[in-house]
Amino acid sequence: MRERLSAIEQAGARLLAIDPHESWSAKFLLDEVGLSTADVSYPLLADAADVVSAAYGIAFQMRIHTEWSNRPATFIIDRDGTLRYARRGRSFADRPSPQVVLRELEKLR
Amino acid sequence: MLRRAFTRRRSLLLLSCVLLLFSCDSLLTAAEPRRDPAQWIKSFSTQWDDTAWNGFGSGRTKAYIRPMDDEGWKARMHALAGLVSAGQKSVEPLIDLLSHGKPAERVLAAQALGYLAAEVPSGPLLAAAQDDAEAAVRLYAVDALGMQGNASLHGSLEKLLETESSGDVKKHIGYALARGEHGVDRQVLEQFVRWNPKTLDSARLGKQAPDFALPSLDGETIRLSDFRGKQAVVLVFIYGDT
Repeated sequence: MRERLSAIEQAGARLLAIDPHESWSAKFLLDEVGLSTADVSYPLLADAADVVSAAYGIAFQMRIHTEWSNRPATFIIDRDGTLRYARRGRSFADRPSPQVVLRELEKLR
Repeated sequence: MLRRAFTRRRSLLLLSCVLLLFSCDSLLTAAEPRRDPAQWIKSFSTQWDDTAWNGFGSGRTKAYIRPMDDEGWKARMHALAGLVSAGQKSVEPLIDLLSHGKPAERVLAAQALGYLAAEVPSGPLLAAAQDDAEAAVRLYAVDALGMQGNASLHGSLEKLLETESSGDVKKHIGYALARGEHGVDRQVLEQFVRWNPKTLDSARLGKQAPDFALPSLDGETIRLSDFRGKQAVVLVFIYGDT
């Protein structure tokens, strides 16, 4: 995430992460590894009712850790609010590399 | 002659009143159409296919993902929104489903009951958390208990930790204990009630990205539209422990 974050910030864009859970699990996991919410340097948003995950077409599509969770996905929205890039993963590790994200952000300039 | 004209006018008036009522109803119902909880359960049951998953990974991180063109997830979203926004009406049918349904139905029941938290008796949830053969049912039942924000359940939850075999379910018992008396936020419930089914799978390249308003870790509400005219946004959807 950190690699991605610096690439994104360099390109003048903003990173938002969306988690299909209430924030309790994120806080618990941070606590477990000795971190606090202040250590998360990008907004981590709680999509507890899955309404945003559903809008972006990825809710309940991956069964991991026994629960029905989001298919991993990355989207890029330009300054006008238009969706310009969408990549929905085929496995939990299937994400665009920081290089790909940077390249796609460059295309928006 | 006069009587016939009067009757015709009255029928026209009646007809236009009825038509007006119908059109008003469809204007107001941007949310999920009101159906019986039993109908939502049935529609979910016929469309959710528990077998259409592709496996990947191994050992601890064995996971399953839907084929890209699968649509079953939509039935889950519709059913959850319909059941949760029906509120109290859904509780009894869901509690019944929790003990008597097929495995996939019991999972849905536990999941929905979590959001309905305040209206739900803990007994059936505890029983499911303890005794259901499916780890997923136990997991969502544990979540549901946590979402009730009832500290008096902690003893029972701690006891579950001793007997639970699934590491994932144990993790969720941990979340339930950690949240203490913080029940599920009203805002979450409102999202279901206000949900417009037309937004389902509505993100399209080249079109306006669906806007949203969600809370960050520190409780601040962040909207996608906050960044319009200012910055491009990279939206990364995670699944919970990335």
